[in-house]
Amino acid sequence: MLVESKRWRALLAKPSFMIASRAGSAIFAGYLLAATACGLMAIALPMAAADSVLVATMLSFTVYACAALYSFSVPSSTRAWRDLLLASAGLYLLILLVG
Amino acid sequence: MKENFFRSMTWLHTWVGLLVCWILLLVFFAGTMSYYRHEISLWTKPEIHQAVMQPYQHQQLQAQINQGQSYLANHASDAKDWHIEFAYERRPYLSFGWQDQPEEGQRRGKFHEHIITADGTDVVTEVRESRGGHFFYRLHFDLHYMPAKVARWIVGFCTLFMLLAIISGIVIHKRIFKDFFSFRPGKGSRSWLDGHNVSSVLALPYHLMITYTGLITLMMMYMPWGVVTAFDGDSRAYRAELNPQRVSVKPAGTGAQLITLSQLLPQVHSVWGDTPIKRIAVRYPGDANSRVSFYRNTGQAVTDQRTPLVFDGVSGEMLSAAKLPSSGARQTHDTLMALHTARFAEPILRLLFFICGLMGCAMIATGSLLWAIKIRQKQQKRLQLGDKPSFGLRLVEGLNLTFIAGLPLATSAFFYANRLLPEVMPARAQWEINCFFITLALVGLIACINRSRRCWQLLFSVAAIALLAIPLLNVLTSGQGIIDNFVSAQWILLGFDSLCVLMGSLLGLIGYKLRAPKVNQARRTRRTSMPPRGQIAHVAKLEE
Repeated sequence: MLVESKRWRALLAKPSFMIASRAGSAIFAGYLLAATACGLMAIALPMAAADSVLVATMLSFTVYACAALYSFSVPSSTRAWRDLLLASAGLYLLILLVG
Repeated sequence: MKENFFRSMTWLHTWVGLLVCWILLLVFFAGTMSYYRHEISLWTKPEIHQAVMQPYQHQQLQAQINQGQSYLANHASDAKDWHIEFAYERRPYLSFGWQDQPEEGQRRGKFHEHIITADGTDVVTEVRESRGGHFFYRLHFDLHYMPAKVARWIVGFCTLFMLLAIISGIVIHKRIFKDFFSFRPGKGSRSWLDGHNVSSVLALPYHLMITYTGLITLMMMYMPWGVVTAFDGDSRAYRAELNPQRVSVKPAGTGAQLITLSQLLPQVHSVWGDTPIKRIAVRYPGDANSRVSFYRNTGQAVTDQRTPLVFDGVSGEMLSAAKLPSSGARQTHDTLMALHTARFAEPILRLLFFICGLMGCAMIATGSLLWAIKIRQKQQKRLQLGDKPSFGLRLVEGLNLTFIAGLPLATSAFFYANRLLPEVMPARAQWEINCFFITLALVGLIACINRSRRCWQLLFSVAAIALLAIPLLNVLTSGQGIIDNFVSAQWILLGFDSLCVLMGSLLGLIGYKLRAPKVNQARRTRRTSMPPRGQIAHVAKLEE
């Protein structure tokens, strides 16, 4: 058991895995954040529905880009995953609240 | 990630750039070609290079509409829809077109287009099958040989990577203003870095704009979540609110006499004044539910909204005012779309867009070349001992050769195929496109075997000669040379020939610069064959 977990830890500490994990957080968690931000803005912005959808969707790509940059700028990939997922969860809760 | 933010961004810039640069180059290249989409399409149809060109004639409008209606009634009485396309600057001829009723299980029927001669007496019906400029237009977001949806996701993914590469590129660029003015040729990787900087920074607003607006054009596919929360996922309701006029009708199935189209002109005039009309579309001609739509030429207005005036095809009642509800959000969206498609650009501005597009290609190409050169530098010791370069390096160098040298060559192959394939053959349009990709694949095959500087030189020279000979090809296969086109003031065809010659000369110049260095080898360290020397202190950062 101990050997097994050590092997896992070694694998997780490998640079290639770190990079893959970081890229994963940028691509998937980043998208999740952009999607929830888009969904929230679409119902929360004080405009006509179709207008707020337009604004929300147009801005969501900025959110995505910033999230991806964030993923690569924090010290550890675990933190990138954690922060982005937490932020998305927060936004999702807000969507449930507003909608 | 790395020790600090700056280092992380440098790393990110290198890798997001490298990962997608070849698809991006293809997309950027095809997108740049699309600025001349209609011009290329005209060039690929030599049958209509004579006798059909005419300017838009306001006085003739009524006569042309009447002629079109009677022509279409005679030739396409049971068509699904009719189109009358009027001449305008980028498409200087009048045509009548229609779509057959779709066959079982098909969404669209076959399209036909007949072109009217300038004197209005004759009709050109036999035009060779070619996708022309639309091939490049579609290529830049639908790619080819794959479902459009898959391709659009791939392109969207690459575009987002490009956005990341640009933003991180700005972040790591400390001396953006100073580098603006520095180009130090003949200094190995230093020069390539300078070249990368110049092409990126000079056209930076363009690169940012085209990348972001590229995402905007397909945003509802990439990011449908606003519709999900605000409209419960009902995209039809969303589109209806966005544009209440786009309610589509179904044919009634009962026949009714179509109104004389030219009778609608006074109503159109009362809304639009003397604005040139671009096209008239009739849906379900001869049906009780037929609809007639007038589209105008929006000219140089920065807008992408092609909102028609819609009439009931039987009673002639105007069903829509041409004005859409307007708001800040809509105008922003419209402007972003218009910036991407650049429909408003008159010739000089269009040329500027084209040049910016080429700078984008140069940015991507120099970036990937820079990577290859620096990795080769790193492996120099190994290489001197007689080892093979690493697989990654060989792959990057091969892909560089394939796409950078291959794309101009494949494009000229497309143009040659357009003129040299038999005029009538099955799947002709597809074969022109196949020629494009076969050429690209051949260059790829060469790249597997030989990626030397000589090979680069050879490929560039062949592409240069092919492009320089385009005017010759044109005169031999269309019977209309540069001089004829000049005399008859066919600026579009003339422009096509001149641009080919210009691009050919540029490629020729690159080929010439690539010739084997005789003296002073250290000064000319280019491409991949020579390990570059010179200063590397600054660029060494990028290697991490």
